[in-house]
Amino acid sequence: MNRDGHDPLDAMSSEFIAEIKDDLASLEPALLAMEKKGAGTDDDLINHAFRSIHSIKGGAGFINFKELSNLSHAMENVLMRVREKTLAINSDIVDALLTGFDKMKLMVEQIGKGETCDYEKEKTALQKILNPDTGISKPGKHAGLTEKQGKKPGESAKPVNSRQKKKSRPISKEIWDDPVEVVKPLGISPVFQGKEFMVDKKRLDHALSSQKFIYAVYIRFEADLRAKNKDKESIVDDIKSIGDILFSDLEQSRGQKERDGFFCVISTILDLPLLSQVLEIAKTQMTLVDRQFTDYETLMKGVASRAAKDKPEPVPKPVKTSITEPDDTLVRGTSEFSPDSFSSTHTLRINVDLISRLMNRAGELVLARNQLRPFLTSNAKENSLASGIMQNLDMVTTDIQQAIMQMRMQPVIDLLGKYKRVVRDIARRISKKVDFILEGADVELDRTILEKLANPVTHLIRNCIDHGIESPEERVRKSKPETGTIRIKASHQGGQVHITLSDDGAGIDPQLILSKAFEKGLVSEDRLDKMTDKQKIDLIFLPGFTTSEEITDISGRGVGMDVVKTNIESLRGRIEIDSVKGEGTTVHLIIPLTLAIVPSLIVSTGEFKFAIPQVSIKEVLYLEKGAVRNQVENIAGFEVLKLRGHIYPIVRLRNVLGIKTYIKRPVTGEKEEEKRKAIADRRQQADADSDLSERWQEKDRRTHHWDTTYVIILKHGENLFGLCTDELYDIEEIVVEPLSEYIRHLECFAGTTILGNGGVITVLDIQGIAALASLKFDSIRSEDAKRNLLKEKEERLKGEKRNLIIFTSGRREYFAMELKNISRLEPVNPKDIHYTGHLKHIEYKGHAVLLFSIDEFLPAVECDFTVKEIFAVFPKHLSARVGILTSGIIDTIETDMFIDEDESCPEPILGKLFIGDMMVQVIDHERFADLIEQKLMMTKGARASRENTDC
Amino acid sequence: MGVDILDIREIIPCTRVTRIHLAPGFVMGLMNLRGRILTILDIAVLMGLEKQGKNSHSHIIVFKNTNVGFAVDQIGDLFDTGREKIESIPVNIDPRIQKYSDTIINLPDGVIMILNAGKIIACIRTEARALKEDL
Repeated sequence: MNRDGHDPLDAMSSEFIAEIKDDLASLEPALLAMEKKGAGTDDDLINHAFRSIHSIKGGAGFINFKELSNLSHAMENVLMRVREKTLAINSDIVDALLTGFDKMKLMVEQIGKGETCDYEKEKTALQKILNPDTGISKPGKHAGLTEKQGKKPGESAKPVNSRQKKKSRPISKEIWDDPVEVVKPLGISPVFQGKEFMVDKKRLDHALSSQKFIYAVYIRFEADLRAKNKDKESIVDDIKSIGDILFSDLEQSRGQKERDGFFCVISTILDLPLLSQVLEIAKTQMTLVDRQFTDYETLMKGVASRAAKDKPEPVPKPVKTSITEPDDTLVRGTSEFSPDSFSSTHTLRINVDLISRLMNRAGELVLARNQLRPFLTSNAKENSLASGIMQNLDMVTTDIQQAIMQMRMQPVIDLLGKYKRVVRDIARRISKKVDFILEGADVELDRTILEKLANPVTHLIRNCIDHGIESPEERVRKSKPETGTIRIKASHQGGQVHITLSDDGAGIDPQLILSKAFEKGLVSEDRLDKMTDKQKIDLIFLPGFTTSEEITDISGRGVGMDVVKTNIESLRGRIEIDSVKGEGTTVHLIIPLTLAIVPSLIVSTGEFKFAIPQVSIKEVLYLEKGAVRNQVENIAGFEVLKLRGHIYPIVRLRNVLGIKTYIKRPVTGEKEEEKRKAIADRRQQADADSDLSERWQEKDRRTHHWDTTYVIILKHGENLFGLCTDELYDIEEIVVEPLSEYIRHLECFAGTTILGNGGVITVLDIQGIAALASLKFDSIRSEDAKRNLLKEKEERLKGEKRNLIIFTSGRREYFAMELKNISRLEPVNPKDIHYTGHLKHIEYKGHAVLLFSIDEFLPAVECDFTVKEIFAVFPKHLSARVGILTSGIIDTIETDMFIDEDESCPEPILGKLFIGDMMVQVIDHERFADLIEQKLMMTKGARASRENTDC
Repeated sequence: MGVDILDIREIIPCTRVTRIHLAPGFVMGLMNLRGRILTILDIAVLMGLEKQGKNSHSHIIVFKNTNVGFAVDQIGDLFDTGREKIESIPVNIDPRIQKYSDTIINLPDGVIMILNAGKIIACIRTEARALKEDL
């Protein structure tokens, strides 16, 4: 089929194509949601999908794109049946719809390339769905054909009326042969009861595709015309000035005495209240007609099942232009799929270039504001107006800047949403079962970033399904749920967006990665056993790690990961992988919110200023004279900073960048180049190797104080290091511009920017600085990990903090129990102890409670009852209330001391502690409780005191 | 030396050029020209000319359609010349200079070499790219 007369470059067409693309975009999630919900799909969803496809059809018709129009029509038919509930949704139907959708997308992309698309396959698939049910459509016939209106396929190519080439093309001539359509007024107004109007099909379609409202209006001769001094002609002119008259029975009504007015059907972009105002006709005399219903009627005429039903339920509302008002039928959504999320409300289509330009200008505005600031601030003293103006300017600028930033922001669902489809398709293709969960869909990211994320994320997801998630059988074997899960979570964290992609698949085997990398010669032999698992996994980022044979060899990831990493890093983002073999893999992407404006700290070294992005600054220290000496240590010529028990490597910006500094000789005032490389160095005689020719270059020579310095603790990923600079300035919001290509190879700079005073400075790249200073975090990390492991072990030994109560039993024998195991302490008067045989009791709330002393359980000196006050300790977690007699409570202490376990300890003693000059035996509550229970059993067995056990 | 005036967007006084540390020698620094960042290149270094004592760049020639400026010591004169006076560059000139220039003007009081802005920029571009690949 050819698109006769179709001019792809037509400005109008491009508008329509843009709209079709939008409709397509909103169609896909709807289809996917339908598949998920199956038969339970609610009407809103179907209606939404239906509306999208209908608009596509309309748009395609308008630009005379027959293939698209026909295909969308076929899809519409299927959806119609679904809506009608004569067709239950299943995967096959959605599959057919999706392939149709894909073809449509392809078609739209190929518009203007002069290629024709063969869509017979898709159409046949769609027809197959309809066929078994209705039995009326024959192969090769258009699915939308009804018996009454049927045409042979050959006729479809017949040239269309050229008169209306541009303006009002019929949607698809071959389908809509009948130029007249019946429209029914909606609503309950008695005026329109039972009315139907015959409307010219072409004009109606045109009105529909240009998103106009179609109204039926009743105009009364008396009230609306004569009373307002109008005649019939003038009202017709009025209507024509705001729209188009599709139908009017003015002629028929002429001379009919019983008629007090005439009907007309008009199309206009005005909404009902406005229309009423313009025409001066009461709102009750006008109503919308149901356009969808029109289509529906015509289409369904031949379907037998249609006969019994009267009206489709619910009556769909006409599609309204998104600008006029939100479509409230869409507002009701479900948690999983909300049509509202993609129905545009109060939106305006704006060219991205325009926004980019606006963005640049906003950047310049910020710049201009910054330039103006010092000037106005200095004027503030003389002129009180100045500060007010400054404040106002500040506010407006910030507001504009934010609004424009917002404009560029897009929710991540715009990107991540489409992966639902990707996941589904890939999983289906390689017959794996995968669930896709998206969290944090409303997190917003700069458009540019979002666009650049598409490739890496697609790659990661493909890897997830391909290599991560196992086949259903294998999953069952591993006693995992048959369906794998891929979870994408987006969240804001500290001015950055974190996107976490995790699966519960096979994970990455670090050993396998390592051996692969070794095979490829990417790792040297001597590093082999020194690497941590994380380092091994990180090997997959190495360029060259990816070749085709590995895809099958490795059950983890590693295909083109270097590209992913480069992509993410070009966004000034980071990527990290965590994987547990057999349990799954998590990929973290950490991405800046926006590329454009970065709050940065301005620092200087010598006479040069630099900007450091605020996100990479952890803290800023000012080291004074004494502090430098105390906190900075020199290890083999390299400096480290001691801070709160940690040691950070220090990098001097001047050394890294080769900035020369000068010292002023106090006596002569002479300046000479500073030779010391580190603070802790002694000053040396000037070396002869100084570049004399460059010395005069530096004009601003000044006294330099080695004694005081600013240390900026920078973080790059998990790594921290200090950067020494001479001065700190403000934090400014800078507009970062990329480095010009002549200096782009300098990795220590992330970009350049213009300061408020008009000066150009460079923005430091933290990673680049670290690399330049040869900070090898990677190699340290494994050491760190080892040390951490040791530390952890130690800590575990140390045990958690314990609250101990220390008491004595016999003389100079000390015991301790954990406070958390004791319900209460009670002073006991030795006289109140009642004895039965060798058992001791006291009365407690009318009951007798057994008392034991420590020496009854373990070898200890007999409890000393002769002291003034004895206490009973009541341990918790016993089957009966039992008190332990002590001859004194010494103290309660909190300790995390390691309790020395000792072979010589008797059974219920955990270990020994030395507190002050006491040796305290810490009682292991569990074992002690066991002993008490045994004792109780024995007493019970002896039937010594039945009532005592009761409690 | 001379430059075709039609290649030039503007000539600005040389003020406040920010030095870029670790940049190749021919990059003098960056400069703010009405909100645009220009990369200033030192033509003398590029052509391997001897530095004459102190650097005294007085002006910057900004070329059309680029964000590149050439620092020059002095702006001499502006004059019209006939096409017939333009000749090819003598072959014995240092190839380093020939890379950047292909014509000279023969004037009564001396010969002026005409720099080809497009050639220069293309050369530096490849050089910068090579530097990047080295890393």
